[in-house]
Formats: sequence, C-alpha cells, structure tokens
Amino acid sequence: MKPKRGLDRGAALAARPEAAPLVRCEERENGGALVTVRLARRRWLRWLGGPDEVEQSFGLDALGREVYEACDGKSSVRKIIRDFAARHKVSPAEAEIAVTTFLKTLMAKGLVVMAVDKARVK
Amino acid sequence: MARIGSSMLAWAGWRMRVPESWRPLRIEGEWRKGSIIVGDAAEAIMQVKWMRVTRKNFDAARWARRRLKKVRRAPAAGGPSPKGFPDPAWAPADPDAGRGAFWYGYAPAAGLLVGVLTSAGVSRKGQRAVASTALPALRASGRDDPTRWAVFGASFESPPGFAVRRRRVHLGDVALQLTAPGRSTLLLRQVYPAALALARRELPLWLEFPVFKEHRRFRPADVQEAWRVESFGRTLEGLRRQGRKQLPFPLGVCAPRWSEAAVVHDAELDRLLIVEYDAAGRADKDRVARAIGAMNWAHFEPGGKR
Repeated sequence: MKPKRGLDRGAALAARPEAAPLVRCEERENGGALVTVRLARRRWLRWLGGPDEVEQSFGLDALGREVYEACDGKSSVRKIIRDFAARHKVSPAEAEIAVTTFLKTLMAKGLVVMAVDKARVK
Repeated sequence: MARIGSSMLAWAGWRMRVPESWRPLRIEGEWRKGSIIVGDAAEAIMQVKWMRVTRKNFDAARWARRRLKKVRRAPAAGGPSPKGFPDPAWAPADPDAGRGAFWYGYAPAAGLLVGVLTSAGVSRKGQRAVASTALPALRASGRDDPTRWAVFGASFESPPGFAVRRRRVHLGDVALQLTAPGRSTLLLRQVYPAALALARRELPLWLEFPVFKEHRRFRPADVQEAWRVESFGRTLEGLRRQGRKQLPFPLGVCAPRWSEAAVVHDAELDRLLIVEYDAAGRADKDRVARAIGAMNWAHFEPGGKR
C-alpha cells in the first residue's frame, strides 16, 4: 500500500499560500471585497460541453480580505498568523485557529493554493 | 518588563501563566467542580481539575495521598510548590514507564483543591513546561477576593460571591454569566476585533440582543445615554442603559428585576466590553463600572502585553 503523504505542523506553518489569479475585485462598504476568480470546471462538466474555465465570485469581510491579500506566495502561514495577531491584538493561539481555519476554507473553494517545501513532505 | 511568550489562563478561582501557544481545548464543569484540558496546536498537554471544599476539617495531604495511591503512584519530593498551596503532592512524569505527571494542591485561603495532570504521551517539552512554567505560577483567589478569569486574550474579574452559571467561549466572543445569592446576575462579555463587530452592528445594538436565552424581557426605564468609565488609567467611552426585566404577560408582576447594562469601546485593545447586571433590588451602576474597569487585567499586569 502506498504510504499516506502528510505535513507536520512546522511544515504546514512554513507553507506559503498564494491567491488564485484575480479577474476583478470590487470594494464593499464594510471594508470587505467581492473577489472574482477564474476556476477550472470539473472534468465531468467539461465533458458535457461549455468552457474549461468559469468565473466565480466570493464575498469576503474586512478580516477575510486582509488574510486573502496576505496570500502573496511569499509570506508563510506563520507570518500571516503573527501579523494578524499583532494587528488585531489577539493571542497568537486564537489567531492561529482563526487564520488556519479560514485558509482551509479558501483552499477548499479554490481561492488559494499552498506552496510547500517538497523536502518537508513526509 | 513584558514576559515574551506567555499568557494568562484563569478560571473559577485559580490562575496560572502558560506558554503563549497554549489554549484551552475543552472546558467542563462549573464553579464548584470542573476541569479544563489545555494544549497547543500539536497536542493536549495538561488537564487542570478543581474542586471547592466546604468541609472545615479537610485533610488535603491525606486526600492527595489517596488520590496518588489510586493511580499507583508514590509522592515524590522536590515538586513544584506554588505560593498559597502548602504541602502539594507531586508524582513526576516517567514517559519510559508510560506514566504521566500528577500534582495535587490545596489552597486553604480559597478552599480550592487543584489537580494538574499530564498523560505519558505528552512531549518532554510539554512536561517540562508544566513543571517549570505553569505549576510554579499557579495562584488561587481568596474566598473574599474578586475572582479572576482569563481565557485566550480576554480577561475578566467578578465580585466575590458570584459563581459562573453559563459561559460562551468563541473566538472573538467570550461571555460569562455569573450568579450570586439574592437573584443577582452579572454578564461579562468581550467581543473583538471591535472594528469588525461595529461594522456588523452599531454600538447601541450590542446591548439589545441577549447572549444567553432569557425568559424575562427588557423594558427600558430611560433612553441609552453616553457613558464613560475608567480602566487602568484610561477613559473608555460607550453607552449605558437602565430598565426592568419582566416575565411575559400575565406574569409580568412576578419577580421583576432591575437591569443596568453598559457597552464601551476599548480602542487601544480593539474590543467591545459589555456588562449587564440584573438584581432584584435597584441594580448597582458602580458594579457595572467596576466590572468594565477591571476587564483585561491580564493585559495590564506586570508580565502582560503592555
């Protein structure tokens, strides 16, 4: 059986999230934004015809936008957490839960991809 | 002065300084008896158990010995000896033998028994931090002293005699409801970041929605008015309101309560501080002011973030 590949906590925090290429970003009144990205369609949908890519919009509040904009492919998850905790005066433990949960959501939606150091993948 | 990398954890009359990455993973029980599991992002590190003792002739040393005997451990010398806990019992961790650490202490001034337990699977670093950082910093509030609470970055202080009845510990929203004999209820709440909270709901509306379900409905006695309160040498601004809480018709005349509530914006810490005090008699405005003024004590004490 093929061994399951995984990341330890250190490697996950050292990963660098990068936002998907933006089509447009509309400002919102509450400081948030409506971001539109181009995402690849599922393969079975492509077989049914239509375009290979589709535009999708996601509403982010002010804090969500801040984390999303920090996903520049250069800053590590650890740095994003540290900056978030310092900016909003919350404990690092609290910031870690909030930021990592949000990044997981962004990854599931296809808004963010993670660049992981290959040597650290077990 | 600031101690880098530590945060305060306080609950139900005990408090300790723990590494900054530690956080409560599970809170169980209530004022008289309960437990908190504390850990970091990688593992659960320790369990803190507490129990209030009302017996006058309580033999804490015997109780601790019997407790250790139950888990087939013998007390060892040279364990952590925090101030206010005379003669604690200690059995250090022995990971090679598959044994965790046990520490039991009794604070006579508080009538509080505290047990700190770690399992054998906890990393050596975690075991070391419990024995050398958390346990030596353990303290207990006296019976007649205010009780201190600190969880994540939010800290509160409740007057003596108030016991926690309900709690809500969410990221960015921590609330405690405490009750005292004589049908008094005190709600302490912090919502943060305030900038986001105020973008979602204006300041006056934060007093309108109860955080815990209530049978009584609020009837204002006057309009909300601007209010100022002193807190650690700063003046915080916000709103206060006064009124009565009554059961729905036709039970409105049965046991009404006076309610005094206030919400202030702490711009420095970017938090909304909310206090609501209900009492059978006229609610005490000063109690609300004191409760708000003492919020975030952990931030301003030596070793805090400031």
